[in-house]
Amino acid sequence: MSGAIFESGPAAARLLAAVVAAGVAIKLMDDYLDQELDALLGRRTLAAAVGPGTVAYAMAALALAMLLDGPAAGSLFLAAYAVGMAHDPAGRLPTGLAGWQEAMVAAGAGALLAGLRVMAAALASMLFIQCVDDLRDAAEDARRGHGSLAARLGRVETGLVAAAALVAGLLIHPVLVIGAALAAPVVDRGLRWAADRLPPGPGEGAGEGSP
Amino acid sequence: MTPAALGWGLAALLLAAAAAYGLGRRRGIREGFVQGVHYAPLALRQVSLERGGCVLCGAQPDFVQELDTAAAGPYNQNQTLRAETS
Repeated sequence: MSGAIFESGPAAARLLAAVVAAGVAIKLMDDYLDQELDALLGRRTLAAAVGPGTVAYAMAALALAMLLDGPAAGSLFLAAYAVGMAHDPAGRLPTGLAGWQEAMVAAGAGALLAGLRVMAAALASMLFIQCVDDLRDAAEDARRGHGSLAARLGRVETGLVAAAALVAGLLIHPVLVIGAALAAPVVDRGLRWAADRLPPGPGEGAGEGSP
Repeated sequence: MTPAALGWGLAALLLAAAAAYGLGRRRGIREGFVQGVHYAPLALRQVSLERGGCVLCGAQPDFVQELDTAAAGPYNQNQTLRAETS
């Protein structure tokens, strides 16, 4: 690992802040897209409480992240988009492209605009986070028939891919990868904490986990 | 060897292990399924004969009653004769 990989103090702080803000944007968008499933499972998310305004908050968080560190934030968001397609790579999307094709377009655009190194590190980070998340939720995903990575690849394979992604990411851009790996659980818990403090949104409380 | 080269080697090794484990597991599942398909009728027949009836539907076929012969009956005499001859 060369010394050029490590940013100066203020640059690293901006990068980490951008990673957290991008994480908030990604998590809000994910919750917004999955809110029907989460409602069925009785899982309380910020998207259910806020409703359509979730997208506005997600975009504001992404704008903030882009202003702090454009290449890192943009590539993380595109990487999350690309890795998210792994759940249904063959499915046709509104663009007419298959999931894997959109993933390639997102990764290609990120590599072109943010740089190959940052995009590769972002992809490795998001793959690691997705694998860990899928392993954690493997039992629940299997119960509801959700095609997670753990269900498609197998648990051991997912764990090995996560480890490989972490090692590769650490070699490419350690600050970004460590920041993303640490920010993911913090953002997840923070948004869950915020969701628990908001009044129930319309249509909430009908899930299997609700009292 | 530099630490970066070691790291890349480790990442490649982990990916290769994931691919090898995944391929092996899938092949094992396929082989196990074929073996299970071949074994199932024999196992069902064995357990059915041990219990004296079909383990799936509980029916007692005629041959069970036919086999329930007297010790000195013609069926058992014949079997004894065949065993001695062989």
